[in-house]
Amino acid sequence: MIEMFHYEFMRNALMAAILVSIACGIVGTFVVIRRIVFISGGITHAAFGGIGMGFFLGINPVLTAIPFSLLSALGIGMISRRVNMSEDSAIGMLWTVGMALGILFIGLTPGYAPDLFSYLFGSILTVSNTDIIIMLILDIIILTTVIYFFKEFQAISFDEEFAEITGVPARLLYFLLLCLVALSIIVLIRVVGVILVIALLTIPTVIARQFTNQLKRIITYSSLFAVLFTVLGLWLSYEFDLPSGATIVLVLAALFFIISAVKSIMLRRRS
Amino acid sequence: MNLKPIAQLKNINFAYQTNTVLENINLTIMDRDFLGIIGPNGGGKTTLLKIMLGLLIPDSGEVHLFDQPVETGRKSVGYVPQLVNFDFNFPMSVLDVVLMGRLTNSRPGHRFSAQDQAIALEKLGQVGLAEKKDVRIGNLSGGQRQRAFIARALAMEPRMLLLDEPVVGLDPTWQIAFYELLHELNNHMTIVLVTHDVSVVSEHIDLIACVNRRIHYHGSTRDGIHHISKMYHCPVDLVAHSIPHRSLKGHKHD
Repeated sequence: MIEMFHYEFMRNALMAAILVSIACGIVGTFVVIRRIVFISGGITHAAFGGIGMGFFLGINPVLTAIPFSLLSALGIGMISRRVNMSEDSAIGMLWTVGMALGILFIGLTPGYAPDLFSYLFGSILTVSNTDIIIMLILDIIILTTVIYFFKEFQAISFDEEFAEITGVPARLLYFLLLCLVALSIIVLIRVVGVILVIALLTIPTVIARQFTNQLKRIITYSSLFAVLFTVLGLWLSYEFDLPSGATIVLVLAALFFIISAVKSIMLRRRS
Repeated sequence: MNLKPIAQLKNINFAYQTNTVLENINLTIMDRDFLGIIGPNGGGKTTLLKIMLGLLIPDSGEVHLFDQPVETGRKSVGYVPQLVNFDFNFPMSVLDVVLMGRLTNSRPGHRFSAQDQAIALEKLGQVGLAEKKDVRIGNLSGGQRQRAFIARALAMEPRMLLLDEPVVGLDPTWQIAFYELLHELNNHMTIVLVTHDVSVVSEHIDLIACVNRRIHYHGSTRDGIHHISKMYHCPVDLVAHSIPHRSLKGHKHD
């Protein structure tokens, strides 16, 4: 396993795996407990509009995806408040409009877009130094925000109305949480791609919840599981020449099933 | 006693789109009242409660709590929501839940202080859940969950306790203890209880407000009982029959 890190792209890939795991451990935990998985899916796909725009303008698509995902995060919150529309319909619209914009931009871009697949399905092996720096900055923003507002985020996730009454700006913090989801999606897109992002935001947390019921521990455990399993997925994809994003997701899913099965067998033995 | 108004709602109107839910609501709650807000399902009780807490903004009218605008006054209102709307898989201990009541006194970027912890523990003791503090909230029984939510409301050190449908789905033994607790708390604070269950009101509460789009009655339970029956379209004797058998277990007006 060690010799594969002689290559720079492999060292970048390992760095990316760690950065991705921090983002999905922290934000994924709130996505799962606050039950905003579908919203996160919407934001992810809307971000594809930004990726298309990056191709069209000849800028790093990760950078142009940032305003797109942030705006769609705020949009999802606003539309369902202001307009007479249910939240899931609003999400469905943003989801597809973002994708359509992305496709349109790519259609308008002269020539063929060879990297396109890496944004759809992820490509941890082509992560550049710039990408690493962007991911690192976003991770720092996510981590400090969650540490600073930890008890408030916990409160609004459990009972938004009660938090509001006690003077916590619950609506504002919910928007902030959606923005953190948007940023973490940017961190993840390079590695697993638009289509597979949700797997990394949910599966590590779901596995972590098998072991603990404490919020802080769930965050730590899901980050650790994510590191472990993305590196394992990365190694498998390197050894057997498989697409990295899909391999990482399948490793996560397989381990979820194995751990759940082992746990239920152990519970049955005990009783 | 019972002279100072602590919550005042004036000319409240509220509609969802074109569907009027509340019309010209005027309600004054006095200090140390033990008030039951009753009415049929869909009659606007929960909407009224959310307006009282500033969670919904009325189309017209004013809400004042403790002579303050609702946004500041509500920090002194201990709110006990309905249990049915919660995700009890949520990873939070009983103490964590009760500590939420101390958010009134805390700022982001700071942990709860030792004093906040002490207050939360004291309130848990008051509802008899001290030894459950580290248990996950979802592992409590229905009655225990409700006690935890009452402890959370008490941790706000409120001057008024507001409970939404508190007896739905609870076992009868806990219900008796529950009303004893409320009457005891009533010595120090106002209690407002929202319910659609008329039998609860006639046995335990001596002041009612009947809400069905408007306030149809606000006064003593004994005199208001026929209003209830009118609102529910049920025979008078069915409702009134529990009255002669049980004396109203009111709090002492000394």
